[in-house]
Amino acid sequence: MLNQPIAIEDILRVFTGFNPWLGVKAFLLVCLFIYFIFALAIIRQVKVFLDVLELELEGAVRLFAWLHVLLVAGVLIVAIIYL
Amino acid sequence: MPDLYSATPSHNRDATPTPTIVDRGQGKKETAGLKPEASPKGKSPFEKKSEEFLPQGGSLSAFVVKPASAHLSTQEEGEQIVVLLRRHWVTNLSWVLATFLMILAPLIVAFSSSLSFLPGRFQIMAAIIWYLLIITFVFERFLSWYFNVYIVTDKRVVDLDFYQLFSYSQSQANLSEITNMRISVSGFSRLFLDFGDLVIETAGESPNLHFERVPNPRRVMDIIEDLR
Repeated sequence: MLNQPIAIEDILRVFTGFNPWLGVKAFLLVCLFIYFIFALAIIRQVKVFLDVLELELEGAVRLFAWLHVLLVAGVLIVAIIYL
Repeated sequence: MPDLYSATPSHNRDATPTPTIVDRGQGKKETAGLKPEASPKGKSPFEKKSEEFLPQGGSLSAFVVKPASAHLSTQEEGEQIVVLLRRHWVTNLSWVLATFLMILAPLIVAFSSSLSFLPGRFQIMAAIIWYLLIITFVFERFLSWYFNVYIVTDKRVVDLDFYQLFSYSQSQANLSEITNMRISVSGFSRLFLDFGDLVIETAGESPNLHFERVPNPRRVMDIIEDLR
């Protein structure tokens, strides 16, 4: 028992009663939320592009942009539940 | 000297008074890639010329002649897109290689155990977020390449530049305003793969247009010459 290394989070928890990984989780969630907003911005970006110039792959580009938003939302939800 | 528009009804010639076309007809004995034949009635000289180019290139090509479903928001009725250009595919090589390295990076990190201080859940989330970032990076780079286009219609040349989020610029010049064109092909890869820059100088208030790293710049110049 005494030979096991003491983790930094254990030291912090003992002295401050605060789990540092909760702070990391909160930080990650904030970052992922900003990422989600950015993914929505890409949807807007694609719309602006396609308003100016219609191209053959319009449907595929729109679809991928929405899939990207769903993917980011999925990761955000997984992070909330799993971490 | 062949008269390009000899079979065109006089009212059509009057409908599109473009001094450049007249100059072209008087100054050149041959018109590369064009047949000086009569076109259907009711077509303007511009429409007649653009009809002579055969469609070429797919939806992901950097050099597309007569693209099937491309349409500019500012396109006028009767105006046809003759050539749609993007940067040569080889210009994408840097970010494609970077993507492969980014894909392999977690393997290197796993081998070196540099993230071992993180709890298991955080390690998995770090990998998921990393690959998400790669997907976003690839999508952004693709959009940047796909939508930054140079367009030659039968009436004008257009340079569409999309910057990062929410911003784009559109420069254009009528074919009749073009005074000079210059090609710059420098470097082994450009010479070998036949891509380079085409600078289109214009008269009046229209800005000069820079078609950067486009494939077959000489052919693009020829096409614009034919259309003028």
